Amino acid sequence: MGARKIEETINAGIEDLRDTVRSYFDKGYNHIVTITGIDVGENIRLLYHMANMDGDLVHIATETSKKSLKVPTIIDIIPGAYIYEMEVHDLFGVNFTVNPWMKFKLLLPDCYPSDMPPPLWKEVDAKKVQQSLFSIESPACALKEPFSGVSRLSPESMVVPFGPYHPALKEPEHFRLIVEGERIVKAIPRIGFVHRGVEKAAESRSYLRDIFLLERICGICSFIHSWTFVQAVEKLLNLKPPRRAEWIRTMVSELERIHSHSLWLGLVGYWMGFDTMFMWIWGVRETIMDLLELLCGNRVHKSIVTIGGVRRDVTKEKLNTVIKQMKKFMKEFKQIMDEVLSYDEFIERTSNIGVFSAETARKLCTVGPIRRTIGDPYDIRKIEPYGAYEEIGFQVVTENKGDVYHAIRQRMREIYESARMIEVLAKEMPGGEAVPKRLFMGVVPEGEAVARGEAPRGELFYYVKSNNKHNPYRVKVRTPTLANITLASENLKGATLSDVPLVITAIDPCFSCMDRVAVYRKNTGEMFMLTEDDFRKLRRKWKP
Amino acid sequence: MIGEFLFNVLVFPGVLFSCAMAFWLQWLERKIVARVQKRIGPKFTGPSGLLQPIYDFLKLLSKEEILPEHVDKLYFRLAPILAVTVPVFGMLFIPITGVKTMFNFEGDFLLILLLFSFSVFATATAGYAVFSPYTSVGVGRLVVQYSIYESFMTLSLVLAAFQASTLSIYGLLEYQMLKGPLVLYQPLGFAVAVLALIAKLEKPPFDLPHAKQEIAAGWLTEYSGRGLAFLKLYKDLSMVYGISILAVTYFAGPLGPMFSANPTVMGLIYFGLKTLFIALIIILIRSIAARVRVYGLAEHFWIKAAPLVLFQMIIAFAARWL
Amino acid sequence: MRRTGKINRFMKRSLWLFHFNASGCNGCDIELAAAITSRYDTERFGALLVPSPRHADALVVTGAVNRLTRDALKFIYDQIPEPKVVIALGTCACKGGVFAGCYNVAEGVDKVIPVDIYIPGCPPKPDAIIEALAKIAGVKSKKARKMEVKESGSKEDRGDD
Repeated sequence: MGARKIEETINAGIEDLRDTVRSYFDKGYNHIVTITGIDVGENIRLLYHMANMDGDLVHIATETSKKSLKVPTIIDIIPGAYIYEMEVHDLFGVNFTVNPWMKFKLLLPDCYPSDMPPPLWKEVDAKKVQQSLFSIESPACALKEPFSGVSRLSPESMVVPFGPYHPALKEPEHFRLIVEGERIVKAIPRIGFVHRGVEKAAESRSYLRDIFLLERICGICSFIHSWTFVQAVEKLLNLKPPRRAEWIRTMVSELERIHSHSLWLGLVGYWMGFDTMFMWIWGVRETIMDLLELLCGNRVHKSIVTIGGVRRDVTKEKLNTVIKQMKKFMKEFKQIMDEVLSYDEFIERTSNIGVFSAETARKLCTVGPIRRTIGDPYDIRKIEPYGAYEEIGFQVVTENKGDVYHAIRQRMREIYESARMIEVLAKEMPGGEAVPKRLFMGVVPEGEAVARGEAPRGELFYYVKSNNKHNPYRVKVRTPTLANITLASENLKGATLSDVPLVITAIDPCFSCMDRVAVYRKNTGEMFMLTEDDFRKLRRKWKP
Repeated sequence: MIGEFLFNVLVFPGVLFSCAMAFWLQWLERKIVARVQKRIGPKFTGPSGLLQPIYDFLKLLSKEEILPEHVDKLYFRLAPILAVTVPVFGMLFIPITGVKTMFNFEGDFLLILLLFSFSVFATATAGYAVFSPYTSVGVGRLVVQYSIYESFMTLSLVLAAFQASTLSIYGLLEYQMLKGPLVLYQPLGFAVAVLALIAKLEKPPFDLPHAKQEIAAGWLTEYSGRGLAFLKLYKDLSMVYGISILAVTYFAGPLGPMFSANPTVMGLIYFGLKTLFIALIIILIRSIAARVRVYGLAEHFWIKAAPLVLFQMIIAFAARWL
Repeated sequence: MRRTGKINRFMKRSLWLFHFNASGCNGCDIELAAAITSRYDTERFGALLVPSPRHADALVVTGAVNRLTRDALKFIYDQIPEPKVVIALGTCACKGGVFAGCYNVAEGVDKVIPVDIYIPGCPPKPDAIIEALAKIAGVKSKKARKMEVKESGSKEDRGDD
């Protein structure tokens, strides 16, 4: 269970691809994890990773030559796959027929030179792309719309940047909304503001250095990134880490989950206009940050996992501190949340917002707490256990309705569960060695491995292909928010403009948050953007 | 005469005094809100951060003023000045160190009420000046909110005047000298007036027209430098002005035991205490409340506050004729 | 693009920050947000986060600037009225950090706009941000750091006002 080497792939030709996918879909593999593209010289190899709810994975492989680059789309079978096809289209240049999203770029800047091959082809040199991209001066390249301030359009339209979080956490992103009147008809995600080219960079660094690179994909769930990557590499090396190391990793991972969920809860409070809740929860969250610093040395990028174990051990005193501080945190946290949830107005303002149905979530292959909110116990820690989860056992938390209020309850209860797990882990930590004698700097034999982890936001997927060198041949990351963005787009349909921030916050977006929400008026063809302040005002205007 | 006039207008209770009170209340609010949020608030600028609002103001004055492209330059510049003038003008009528100021006249109570409502015009001008359409949304929100709270504010205050059978501030004070502070007879009116004042000041929970008090947005976004400085000052001045009106109407302003012994000093002390009291109420509500939506706003006023006012009306009638 | 004018003494104690995330991983942003919350509290120095660049004095940039955000960054920089300060928060903003060499990354904010203050760290602890603000405000750092979280979670300040 857990990470595994890919022993066999189901090879399909281009023509049989759709039928193969459909046959597995009917067999119960209705959740597509991602589509990995690999440059294998003459061709581009595509791996479709499909999973069922019990933790089994199949990998369907197909190849297309670099000359033709045409593959049939599968979005009619699995609608949620469109985002992965967009990604492969951007990074490998593969055209999926007929996917209407193909004309939009997902990750790359619009001005990516068309004479240059797509970035993840082996023959492309990262430095050359960098030089060429940054020498293009035209600002119309990256984004056609102005960013803030003055509008040049009619009084109907508003042009200002939008950030979903407190001004502190403006992470740039972009949704193109097509509206009719005030209702949104379609929402097209346009991420890429945080696209740095990590997957390409991972190929030019050794496995050990990649740990530090990959954990900086995200600052909130950084540990699970490095851990999942290391799981895949350890499978390629047939290396089993010591039990104590697994326990330590699990403990840090749960601490990270608590910090991430409480961060989100604070932000939701901010969105409600409830500053005090935001300040209080973040104040209480500092206890967790202190614990992380105590155990790992850094509050955010823990870098404690390494191939073969962990980089430092924990002493008995530290574990006692963990137990004590967790008790303190839980007491304070519970106090705040009990008060907040007893506040009628709070319940009223979060219920029935961002409502989505279970079918939509399943169709779009949503992952993480937002999936569990509708009742599916889809938790990688349970269905594909790794670390110490199987040993200590835990309850998968689910709610039964898809709206913001239940998402809040979901994450709150997950915090309680994680706190309980941490106590168990700290009290019953097994003995033994946790730190490998030497850091791994060698060569990884040839093979492919996949690993999945349950990041605070959902299922995190890593695919690593090695070819007997110091550097990996290909590292593919599929973050949970990429999977959930499709749900946000879907939820936006039929919503009014005023709902947008809450709807998107509900999925707890990580690196994919929107900085810019561009709105197209379908009838007039005008385009404008909205600020968070707009949204707050609009919310009051149109919401009953 | 001229000297006294200038003194009144420029120093006390005119420009300088009002600005000083505005800064003082801003500091108070920031400290209390910070404490409620378990923080500390301004601390190093001046003793305990007292000079922070002044530093903010002076800093803004020294900044470059960026004029947005599509802007009506005249109104853009005019709006902040207009905004600041109105509350200062109103403060001239508030008796602080005595029962009369040199500007009082029969019917001045009406004037200060109307001035109070007039200041929304300044905000609307600011919104009009900037052609950014979302600004219009902000101003639109403002006008809607105005239409909801305004009637309640005026009605509560007029009930007070009704009970005292007078339309002059001096008359109100006279009445309260005899019968005691009006808040004893009209506590509901006072409560509704406070609520309406919070809505007027756009403080949480009624900060609909823009996101937050500290983080102004909406129509305020385009302002920088001097314009911003004055608009922020206007907000604080409104608070001073509104609280002063309430203090005079419901708590008899500068009056209190031993007032006649030394009107200047005692008046100042009592006035200070009463405004402090009302300010504390407003700040505390503001620091713990979450924002309401339009529905909530309407609910607060039309459903919850209206019965209170109506009931208060009955009491006022009774108190007047019994 | 040189900034004109110096920071005057009023600005030092009333520095309004506009935060901009230029392709960061969010780590620095969260530490910045943590710096304004109850344990660290930047408001002590008069530093606030403002939502509009027109109100701001300082632009705090996090993240290794990527191609898309490069233009946004330039635009926002122009919106901030003079005199202004640019703070590069985090190693990625200073020199590209761990993403140096990646194809979509301009290595460091100073390739796009002039930077006045560099705060390295991956991410810099909120203490580092407080220290930077304390230095700007001219408050002796020891005073600023004399804050302790008591057992009950409330803060107590031991320094003189």
